[in-house]
Amino acid sequence: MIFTDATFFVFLAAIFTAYWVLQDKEERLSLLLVGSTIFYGWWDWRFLGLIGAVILVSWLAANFVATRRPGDQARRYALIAGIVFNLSVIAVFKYFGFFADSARSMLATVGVDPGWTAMNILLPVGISFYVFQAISYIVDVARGDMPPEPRLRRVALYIAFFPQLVAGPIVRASSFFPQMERQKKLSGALFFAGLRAFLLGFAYKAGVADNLAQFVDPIYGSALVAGDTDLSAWSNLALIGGTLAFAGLIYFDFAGYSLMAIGVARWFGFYIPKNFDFPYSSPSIDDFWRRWHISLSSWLRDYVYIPLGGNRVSKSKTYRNLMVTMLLGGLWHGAAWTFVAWGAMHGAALIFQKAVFSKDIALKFGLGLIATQLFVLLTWVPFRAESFSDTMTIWSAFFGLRDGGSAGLSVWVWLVIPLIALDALLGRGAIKHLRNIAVFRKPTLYWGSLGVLSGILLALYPLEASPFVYFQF
Amino acid sequence: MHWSLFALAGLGLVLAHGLKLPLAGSRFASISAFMVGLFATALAVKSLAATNHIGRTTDFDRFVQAAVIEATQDDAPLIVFTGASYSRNGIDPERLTLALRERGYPHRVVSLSIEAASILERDAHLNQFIELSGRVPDTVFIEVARDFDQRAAYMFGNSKFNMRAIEQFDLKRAAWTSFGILGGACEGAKGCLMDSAYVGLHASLNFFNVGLIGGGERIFDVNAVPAYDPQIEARAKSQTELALKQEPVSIFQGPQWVRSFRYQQQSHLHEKGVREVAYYQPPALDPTARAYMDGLCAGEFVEHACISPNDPNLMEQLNGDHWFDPSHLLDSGTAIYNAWLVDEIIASNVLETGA
Repeated sequence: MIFTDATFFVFLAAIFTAYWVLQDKEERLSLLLVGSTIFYGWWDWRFLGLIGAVILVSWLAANFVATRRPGDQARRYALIAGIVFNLSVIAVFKYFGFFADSARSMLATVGVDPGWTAMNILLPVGISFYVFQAISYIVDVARGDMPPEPRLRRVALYIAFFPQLVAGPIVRASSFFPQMERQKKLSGALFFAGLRAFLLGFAYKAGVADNLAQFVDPIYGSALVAGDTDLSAWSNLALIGGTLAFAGLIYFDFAGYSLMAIGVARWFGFYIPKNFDFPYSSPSIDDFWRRWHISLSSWLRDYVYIPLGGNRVSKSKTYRNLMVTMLLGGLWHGAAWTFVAWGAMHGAALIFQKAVFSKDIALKFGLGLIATQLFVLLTWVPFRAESFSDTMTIWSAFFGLRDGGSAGLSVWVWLVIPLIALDALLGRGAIKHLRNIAVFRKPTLYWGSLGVLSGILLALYPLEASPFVYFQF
Repeated sequence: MHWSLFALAGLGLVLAHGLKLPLAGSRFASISAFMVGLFATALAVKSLAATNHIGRTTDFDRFVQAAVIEATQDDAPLIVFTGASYSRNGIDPERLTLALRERGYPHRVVSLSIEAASILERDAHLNQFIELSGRVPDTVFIEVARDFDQRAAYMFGNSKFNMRAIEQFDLKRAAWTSFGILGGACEGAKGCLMDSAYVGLHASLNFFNVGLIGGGERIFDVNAVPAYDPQIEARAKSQTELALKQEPVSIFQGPQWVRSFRYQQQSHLHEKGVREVAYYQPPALDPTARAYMDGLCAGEFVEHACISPNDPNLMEQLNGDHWFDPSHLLDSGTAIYNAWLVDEIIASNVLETGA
């Protein structure tokens, strides 16, 4: 059940109607929990037990931590146990195969055959997101940022809330729990705010991202089938065009999912902060990371970077903290060395920027924008490529160091640049003026525009919809 | 892929970014404005797609493309076979062309056949073939099968809500199918209701262009794939001795809706310059299915060339391991059938003036 599926719309309509028919706050929350269980079980009911265990252990750990005084040894152990349990869930299901394979390869290079074979462990959808939320809950309680929640079902709803369960945004416990307390009322403002976010997300995902896949898959291979790439036949321009299309795809896909999640949550009266803020308009790498996957980068900042000392330590330690955070960020995206390399490149860029550019020697906006976005584009190559060898081939194409093949991509792929620029322009500047034009809020113009938008989205809707890219993380 | 995709995506982004909480207003005016916006966009997108020859790409389009390549090799008079899976497995254009040429007929045979293709879907692709190739067939052989005559929305028994299902139900074809359903070409009250609902849904999806630009392609850019799909191994054990069984034949006409459609199709094809419209049915083990074709040949198609497989001679040859399943031939069966079919085509005199 994905947000662009007809099945999801039926599910959503049923839950939405029942939710607002119910008057009691607790009954509504229970309904959302039941809905979230159905939603997750729809993917694979076998993993309901796993998410259940994550919820139970996190609830127990946080409650135990809260009963002990700071400095108490048992409190410390409970906190560590809660975090370690959650990390081990992700380690086993997401990284076990990767580390086992890496160890085997390393041993093979020194002539040792460890005798084990690779295990294919099914990756539970959304595991990286809900485990991080669970950790956020335990740590927030331990830090005293919020009181422990005595009701298990509330912790369950926080971790398994279906709009953001499988691909985020990662919501902080301290921001979500108070929202469960409030009595909500369905209003036009709430409904239209949800509709606006959902439609924009739908336009991103179904209107743009899914249609860019046809430029990306021929070059990089289908995201779902490993080992199906052969780059030799492609021209250099095609490889660059395919990478550009991927840059558009991953942004519109993930930002689209996040917006839809925000819209759906809004319909139930929950506020989820934005996850993207037009990152392709960033003039520097640190600005990029303030705008790209905001919920993850702020999670890493608050639960990794700052606990490591952040930038309140020596320069060298600050750089180390940056690099560790970005390496973990890379690894979070996938169990492969290419993701680690992607994280390392961004870590290095952040360090370089911090070391070389002080506040008064900032790059001019235009130059900074071009340099930053070119760098981001180049780093998408290892992020999406199946191997370092493919990465090198595509990078060679960027720098003209390769004799290209004759196969080309449709010339229309280059239109992704104006499309991204248009989106950033609308989001960051022009739209503010557009929205202020009174006529645009006139009911007939609003509804007429909604009709036109619906007509466009139906025409762009890809019947063979692709799953969201971030589901695999 | 076409620039229109980006143009629409750009316009969609502008509108999606621009929408904000509307001011309160008249409900009637709001609904009217929404409907006007939606319908106007649907019509504009349709016109955009038609002007740029964009359609939802299906395997049928790929087969058409392959047939176009075949047909435009030379000026040989064309014979087009169009049918469903029975023909996709049972008509080998290369074999037929070769056999005809050995017998002194210069014709080239092409096949436009795909699984579960309704007579309406076949008609649309036949027209598409004529338009794309710029060639008018000398003779068109139209497959007839009881399943398709007796269930106007036969496709829904196989698949729903995909590109092919949506693409074929434009308003005209949805009207023809509804005419069929109203005339009883459906299975039982529940089946008729379900078929009607599916036709309505698919016609709406077609009208509102669902997936047309996103999943569509310019028909000139579609990859060519030949329709003939030779099968080597049987997928089901068949009672091949049924080939020898004959059912009594009665003379009759097809159901009213399908007769009307076939009549207007004949007129339309003749207007385009097609010299002969003929009918045929690939062999099936079910003797009642073959008897149905016999009845039509003696009745509705009495003034047309009509080739029924219910020939004991042919069926005796097919009494063996020549069946993919009870309704479809293996390649060895196709070889037998096609050799027989060439004799029948020649014997029917349908090619005489074209030869």
